[in-house]
Amino acid sequence: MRAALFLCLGSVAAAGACLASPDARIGIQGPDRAQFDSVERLLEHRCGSLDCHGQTGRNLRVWGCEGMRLDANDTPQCRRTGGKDTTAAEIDATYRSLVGLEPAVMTAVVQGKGAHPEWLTFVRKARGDESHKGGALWVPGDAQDRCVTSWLAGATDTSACDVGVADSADAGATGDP
Amino acid sequence: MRRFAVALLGLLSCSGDPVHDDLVRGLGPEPSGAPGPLHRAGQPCLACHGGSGPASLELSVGGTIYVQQGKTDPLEGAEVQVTDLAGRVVCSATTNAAGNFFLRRSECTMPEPAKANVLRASDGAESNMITRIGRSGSCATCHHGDTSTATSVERIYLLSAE
Repeated sequence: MRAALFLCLGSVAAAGACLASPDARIGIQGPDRAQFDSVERLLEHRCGSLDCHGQTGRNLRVWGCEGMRLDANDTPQCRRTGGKDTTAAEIDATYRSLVGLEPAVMTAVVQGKGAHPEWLTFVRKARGDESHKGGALWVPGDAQDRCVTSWLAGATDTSACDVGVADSADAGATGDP
Repeated sequence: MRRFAVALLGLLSCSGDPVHDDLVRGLGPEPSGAPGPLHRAGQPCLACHGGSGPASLELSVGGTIYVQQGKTDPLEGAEVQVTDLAGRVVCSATTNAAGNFFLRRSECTMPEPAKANVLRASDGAESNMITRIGRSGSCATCHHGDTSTATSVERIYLLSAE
């Protein structure tokens, strides 16, 4: 009787696990995904080239039309006429990669309302405060930094993100890749 | 003793960086003849010439340019300009008979990020990079193959397919 009960409970638990939504929360608290699109655009542009984080060999992976694509049928040529822009799935994948990089630290940063973005390795590396093959990409307080830190704090400064992309001097260029 | 000898041999033949060593091994043996400016067209130059060996000549930028999209005819005599994001030319080199060009580390420091242009003076044909070079001086890090894929861009060419 007891064995049958355990078997029954075990089956129910297993079934529940199989039916669990892939979007189910598992204890990591990330910044608002809904506010990530502008941030993703900056990360894709500054970090996501094929020779940097637009490759699977990196712990932090960035997907998007200027680098690595998620769908095998897409190519990194969005600036070319007819090229396919970054997809929502790619933004989701980049979000999960970023949040999953240091999940415990990210949770602490978010719970602290972004008061300490420097706790995150990706912030320190982008600022040049930690060894980074890509060098220092921005300085604390500039538009690019504000784009990321405002997102971590819970209210993305989208205008800072726009400026951050434009500061790269080649945003909006079209032509052959 | 035998294990020690094997281990020592391995140590002497490798850079100590397994990722780099795998990259070099993946390039395969020298296709023909001795290494030189015309060799290994289309391969990532800095895999061997990037300062981690095995080549002693250190480059900062290197690649191969082809005449037309989808074809493998090398482009000889074209100027390859390496620029900063504002378009200022930082260094330039001319492609050789294999379509190869290269810039020694002693003569060029590639800005990071950078861009590149290919110009053929004979007819004014030009091809300009609109995305960016993040940090790799090997064009073939990103550019290889007949067609672009989800993780790479096709070979560098001057003229689009007809």
